[in-house]
Amino acid sequence: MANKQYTAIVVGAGAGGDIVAKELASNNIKVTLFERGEWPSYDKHFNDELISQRVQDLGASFGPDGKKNPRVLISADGTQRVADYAVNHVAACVGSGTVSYGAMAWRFTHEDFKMKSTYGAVEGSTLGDWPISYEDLAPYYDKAEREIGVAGDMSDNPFTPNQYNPYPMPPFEYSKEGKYLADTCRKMGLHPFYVPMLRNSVPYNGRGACIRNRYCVGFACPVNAKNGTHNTVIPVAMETGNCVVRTNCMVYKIHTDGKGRATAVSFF
Amino acid sequence: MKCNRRDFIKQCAALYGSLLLLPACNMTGKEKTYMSFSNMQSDCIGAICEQIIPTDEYPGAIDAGVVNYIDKLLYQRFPELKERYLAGIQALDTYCTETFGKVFAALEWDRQTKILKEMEANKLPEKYWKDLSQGGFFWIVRTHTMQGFYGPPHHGGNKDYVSYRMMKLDYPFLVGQNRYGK
Repeated sequence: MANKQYTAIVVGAGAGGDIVAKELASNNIKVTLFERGEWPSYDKHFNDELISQRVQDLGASFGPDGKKNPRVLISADGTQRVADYAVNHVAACVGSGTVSYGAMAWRFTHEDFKMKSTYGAVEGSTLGDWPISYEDLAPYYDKAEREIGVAGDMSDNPFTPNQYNPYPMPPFEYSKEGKYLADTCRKMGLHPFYVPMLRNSVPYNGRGACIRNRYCVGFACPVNAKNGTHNTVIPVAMETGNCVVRTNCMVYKIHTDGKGRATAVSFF
Repeated sequence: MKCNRRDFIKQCAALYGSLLLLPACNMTGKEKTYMSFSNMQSDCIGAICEQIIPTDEYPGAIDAGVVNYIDKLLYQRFPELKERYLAGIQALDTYCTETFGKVFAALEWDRQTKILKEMEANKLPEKYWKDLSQGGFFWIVRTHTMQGFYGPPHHGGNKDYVSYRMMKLDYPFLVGQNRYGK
């Protein structure tokens, strides 16, 4: 395969890769996004409990193929063996896990960025402090929640840094079971609150609202109301004309120059 | 010598007719039902699965088609597991024949339960299980029994959606209708 010149290359069209590709493309940088999987399709393995992305007994619904992608287990003493049972795979498709995830949209709190300062050097742990703080990240949380689409309401949660930030969409109402739990927790003096969800509680971003399916986690959404990167930032990136998505391309090597900077990738 | 066309066709018809009768002549009992198992082997597997999910007010593993599920699994997706199944069945039936005089499937219910509990805990006599872990064999049969009983019917088990009916889930499945809040 001949060498081709690209300005920017992103490997992996997942949660992170898609957003990076869209940011580059929107700023007039030509970007090629390599993805070893395909475009996700609801119809392929819909609602098959044995072929879902959570329970991969007979395979993962969005790949990768377990037999073509064997995993190697390395035990504590260093011995290696090929896993004879399928290890739970992260989805290999455009959007990756965001196609089939449970879609909770948690923010880190202030303490998460300075665990070591807060708790000290706990023995046996790897607690550390981030070089950035919650305040540095907050505007980007806002941006992501708006662009991908989050439904929620944190006003009942006094422990969160964004207690009074409005979300782009109203929260999902509790189910019957959820309501029992929430009422009881409140009576016990606890603070139940709506989990922020990356799903459309109302029509948003050109797609309809969630229909409250019981089959959600591990499956794609039949009405495309679950917000991932494949149905939000990828269309935007491709619309700019600066982004090309190459599916079924497995990048297996990153070439570096003398200074250790990436210069090229090899793929098949 | 010349063979005229009419005689030739008559001979062919007679031959064809007798070929049709041949399979009937060969059948002494049930013909082989499954691709991966002989009838004796499928009886053994069926008995283990039925112990794990017995018949009560709902059909048990055998009636739900769990053996069919396992059969399809072995010849469609995981042919490498077939060795393990056949080795496990042989070990179990050899142990039962030598100890109780009958294969596993022919033993009484409570005796079967006791044997399986010991197998799960690796407590059956070592000499039958040299190349194969007994606990591992139990685990794999149990795992596949659960998959076959609770999984979607198009994989070969869960006949007539028996487990969905048992758990009061929606069936047949209509996209978009299985919602909470209904």
